[in-house]
Amino acid sequence: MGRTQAALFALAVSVGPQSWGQAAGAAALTTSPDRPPPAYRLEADVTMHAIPVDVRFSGARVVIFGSVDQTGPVPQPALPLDIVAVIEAPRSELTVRRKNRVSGVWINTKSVAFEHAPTYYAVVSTRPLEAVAPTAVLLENRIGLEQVPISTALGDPDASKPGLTDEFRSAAIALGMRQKRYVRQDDGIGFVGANLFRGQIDLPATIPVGQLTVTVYLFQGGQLAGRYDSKVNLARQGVENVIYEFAHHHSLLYGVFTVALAASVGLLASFIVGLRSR
Amino acid sequence: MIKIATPLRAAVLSTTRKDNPLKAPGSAVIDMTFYLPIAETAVNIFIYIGMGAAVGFLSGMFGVGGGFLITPLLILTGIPSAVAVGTGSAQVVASSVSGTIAQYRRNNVDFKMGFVLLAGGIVGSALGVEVVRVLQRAGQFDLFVSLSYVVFLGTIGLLMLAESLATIRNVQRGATSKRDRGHHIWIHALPWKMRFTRSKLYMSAIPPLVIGAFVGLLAAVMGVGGGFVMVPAMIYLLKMPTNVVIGTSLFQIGCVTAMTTVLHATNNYNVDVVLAFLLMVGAVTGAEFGASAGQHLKGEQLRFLLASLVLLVSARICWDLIAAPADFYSMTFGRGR
Repeated sequence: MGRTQAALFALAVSVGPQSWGQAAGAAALTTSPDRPPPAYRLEADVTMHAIPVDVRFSGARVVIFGSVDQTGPVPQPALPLDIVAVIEAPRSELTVRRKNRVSGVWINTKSVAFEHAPTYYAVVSTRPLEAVAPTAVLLENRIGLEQVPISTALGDPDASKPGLTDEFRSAAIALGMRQKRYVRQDDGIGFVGANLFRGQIDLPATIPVGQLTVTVYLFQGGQLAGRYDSKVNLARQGVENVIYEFAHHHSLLYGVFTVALAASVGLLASFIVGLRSR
Repeated sequence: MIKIATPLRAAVLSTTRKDNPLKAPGSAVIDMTFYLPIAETAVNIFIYIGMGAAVGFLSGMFGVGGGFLITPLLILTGIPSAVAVGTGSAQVVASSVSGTIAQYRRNNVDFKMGFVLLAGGIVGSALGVEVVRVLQRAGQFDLFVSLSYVVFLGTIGLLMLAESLATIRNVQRGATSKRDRGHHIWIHALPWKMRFTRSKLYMSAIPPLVIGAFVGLLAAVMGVGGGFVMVPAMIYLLKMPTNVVIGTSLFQIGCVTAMTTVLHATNNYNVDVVLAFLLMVGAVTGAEFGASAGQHLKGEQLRFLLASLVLLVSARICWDLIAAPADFYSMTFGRGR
């Protein structure tokens, strides 16, 4: 009984949308007791933990760097080392719609609502992900665009057909890649010398403002050998923050102010023209 | 002259290099990319000032607010559609105020008629907000909006085009264009007669009230000021002189969009004051030039040009409905509307 409950709990944690990363990562590190302890230790960080979003903001570059230190005997022959970094923005409910032709006009006919999908997801690596680790390992750790954690569909009559949900999930990933919302860079990280690595992700200007999670994974011969978690905070600064707060907390005043501004711009323009034509 | 231009050009070239991670602080003077607080994206301000100027020119010339142009243009350049609707309405306020004053100087505003239309407009837009809610609950709101654009813009555009072409042909033949002052008998039979001195009309207040209400309803549902419906309605149904129609409709549109801007700001938080300001600066400048340009054209020529513009927009929206979309799928984050 107790074991069943524990197993169920573990299952719930690993599929729970909020904590999939932590749970899956921990599971990957502990499920193979027969494997020798990792011969390397991962140390990593990002150059900026706080990115100001101000008037001049037009995207930002996140630099990820670190080292892989030898801590134990290296197995022979030496296994290849790979670094994979994932940057993810907070998740939100996602509705995917499909257009179909109905009597000559393209109309949204089908839609699937997903409970959670990342509003931004980028994965950069030293080599193509397929070469870094087997699909099963990537899947287990939810790394890669095919594994973008778009959770199960919400209570939607169409969602009862699993094929439709899968189709809409793939469509969302493909569309997200075209919109630069979901990014994959197979050579975004490189080793500098034997054990230092460096990589970067260029965040677009449309990135959702808020906290980004950065996870760096070390793979050794296709097996997860270490991970590092960090956060990058995007926060509105200065005028951007003042306007945003004004618009959201004093919206009536903000609306009236905007109309007053519009009216004065109009009045000023006519006044200038009036002076000139006199 | 050349001495100034060369470093300027060099500075422009150096800042267009996107891959330069270390931007020199001095280059900020030339790089005109601004981050918008509500739209949450970075834009080049010249694009939007120019867009405002082009739309402002047309609105000053034809007496339409330009909402039916600015909102699709904003969406086309990557502004989220909700922000485009809210911000577009703020921009229309500025160009309408400037346009109204320009027309008022030429004594082209019938304030009495404007207030009667406005009274109807307030009732209509309140009703329209309710219609929007019902439509959104039923789904397919976007489709309904596109279809209304095609139907209303298409019908009005075709009618105006036919009428203005006929008038132009008559004028060319040398026939004196005489205004048809006769009204339908049932309009004469309506009560609440008022004298609209500027429009040279003595008629019941009911037709302008009804037109105002209908336009207000359309404005709320379609997210526009409604000038493209108001202008032909005033010309063909109320038989007002074209010049007075333009000034009066600008006045009414300015009032209605001021109201919808505040409603958007308080209900949807989708008015971007920075983007609106950029559009306004361009629009008011354009509107002044548009009003002057319009003075040189005859009424039927203005109507012909407006009709062509309206038909173009209508055809474009119709094409989007019929042509195979670039993406069959679309994704929307956040809780369903």
